[in-house]
Amino acid sequence: MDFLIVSLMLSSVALCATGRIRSLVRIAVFQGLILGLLAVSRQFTAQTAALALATVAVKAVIFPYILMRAVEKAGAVLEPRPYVGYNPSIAVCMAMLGISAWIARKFSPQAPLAAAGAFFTMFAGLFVIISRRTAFSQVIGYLALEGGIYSFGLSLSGDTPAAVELGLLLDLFAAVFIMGIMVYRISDEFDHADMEKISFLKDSGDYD
Amino acid sequence: MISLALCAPALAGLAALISGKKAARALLTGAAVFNLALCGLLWRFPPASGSWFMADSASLIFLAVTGLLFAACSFYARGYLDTLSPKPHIFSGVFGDEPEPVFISFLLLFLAAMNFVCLSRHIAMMWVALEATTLVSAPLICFHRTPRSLEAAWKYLMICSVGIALALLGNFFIASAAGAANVPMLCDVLRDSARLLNPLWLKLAFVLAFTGYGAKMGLAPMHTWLPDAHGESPSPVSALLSGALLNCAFLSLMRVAAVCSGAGLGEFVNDVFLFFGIASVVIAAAFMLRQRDYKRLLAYSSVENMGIIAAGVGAGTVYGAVLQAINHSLVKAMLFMASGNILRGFRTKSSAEVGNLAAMPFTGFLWAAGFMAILGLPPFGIFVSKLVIIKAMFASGHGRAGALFIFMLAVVFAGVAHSVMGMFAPSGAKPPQGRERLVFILPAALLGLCALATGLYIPQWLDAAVKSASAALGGAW
Repeated sequence: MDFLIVSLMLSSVALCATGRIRSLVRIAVFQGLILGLLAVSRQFTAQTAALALATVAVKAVIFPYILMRAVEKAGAVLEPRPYVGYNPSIAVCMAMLGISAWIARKFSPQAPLAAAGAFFTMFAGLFVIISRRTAFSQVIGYLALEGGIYSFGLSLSGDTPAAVELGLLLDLFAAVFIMGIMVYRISDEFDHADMEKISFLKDSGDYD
Repeated sequence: MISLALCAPALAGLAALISGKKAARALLTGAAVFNLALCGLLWRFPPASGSWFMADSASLIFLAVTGLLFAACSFYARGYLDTLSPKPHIFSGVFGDEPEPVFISFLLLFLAAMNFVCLSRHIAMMWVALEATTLVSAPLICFHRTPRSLEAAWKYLMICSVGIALALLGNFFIASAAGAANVPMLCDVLRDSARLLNPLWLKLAFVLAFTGYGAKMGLAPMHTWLPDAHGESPSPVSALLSGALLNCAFLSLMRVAAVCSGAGLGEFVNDVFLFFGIASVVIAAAFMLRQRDYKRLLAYSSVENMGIIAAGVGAGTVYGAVLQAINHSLVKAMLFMASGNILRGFRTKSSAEVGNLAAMPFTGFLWAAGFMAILGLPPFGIFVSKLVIIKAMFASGHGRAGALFIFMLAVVFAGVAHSVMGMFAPSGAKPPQGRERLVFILPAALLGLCALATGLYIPQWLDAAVKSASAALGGAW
């Protein structure tokens, strides 16, 4: 289990450090697989196995497939000029790692590593959403954010009833699914997914 | 009966997906009317709470407002879909609309998700439902697949999903607090036994929930998606987003806030509400002052009203806040419907290019009456609720906040008057096309009448319901 969490953290560092869209998608696939394994690593029952299978199916198969098609359609290879460059991003990563370790020790002393991994993945996801321009990277950031929250939930407790957990997962899956379709639409209509260039909607000046 | 309220619209939505145009439209209005009737039955015979769902008075109030708005919007939407010619706008060569049954299906699923939020008893279930509302309403925003609406839908999806993901983290904190004290995660049980819970966990949970649900509710500074989404979506969808969806987010936030207040964090909770409420009013006022797009004007007015509601909670009058939420929903839905009529007549969203609005007598009347109502002029219900909130602010010792609040309401008044009066002035604008149809006037007029009625006389049963809702949401009543 510790091994899985460390891989999750390392892949989150990689998420912040690369601008190749294909690599980002590959990291998302990898994280999807890890989350699936995490779900069954605590206890192996029919229920957890089903959850793991669903996680892997959506995050490591269906979603990357939609996303890669959108990427190919838009001909995107590299994240163009991120708001925060890759070297500073790694520095930010280190800072986030420290903060997550501190939070984890304060709030979850019984499982500090799992909580730190979860928080770090959340922070990395949020950071990618904020600091990158294309809708592709933003979606992958959301995926990481959500994966971090999910793994935090796993590390916390198994108190949530199965029906709620199922609804929760269903929602997250649907979110990822709809986002995938939206990205596809956006790249379809604009031939790119640079959200900074897509900004018709603002409040200044005359109405066009 | 609760499960019927949840399943009927969802099933109708799924059925609409596979049916033809005509059948889908019949399903839309049929399900809307059925849902409204069901709301009435639930009011008359409140069912016992189940382990997942409940219908306390707060649920019932927001359920009824949602049902009423949806019924009005469903008729309006039928008319709206009628007017869409095969080639509705200049982009139609490139950007086709979604197929109509898909649109109707998502509308019905949206209703189901909102009912789900209102009736949830389990905190995690409520989260699931609120996230579901985001997911089913995003495709509604980009029904006309124009670049602008795609951008709006993307912003909406991203900001609300990230916000709601943070609220999920908040849920986990509540879960661990509840788990440690061995209390089930049901809103009302948690609220009543809040003293047993660890306040530090709850405080964190509240901050996260406020960020997430507050973003969805449109409180500044997380409101940035709102003007785009409400401005770009088709008018019946804007009416629902503004009138019904924001209330659902408010209800969810209040359910969490009630637990925290119960745990002795009342002062902290109120301060947060008051600060962000006033901040929303200030920011909305700044953008409304020189707003040239009348749909965005309405959207910013929603931000302002959500700010007023939050400020009401912060000042300690949940009663006033709930009353304001009801009135705002009725009036805002009416205004968005009227704005759709203006858009159809003048084919522009710029208020400067609309002139001599009296050429559309009914729409013009609704537009003017609606703005008088939303600004809080006396015969309408919003006057009463704003007065209650302002009074509570001064009574609770937030005099300076109250003064700023009143000043900002005046700024909003000036901004709105500036652009709305201009729309009535005779000008060189092109005269409106087409005639006014009853289906576009009657639903809006009915909602307007309801808003007028709550201003003239609040019946005993409504007063009692709002009071008991306020108690259920942790208010002092």
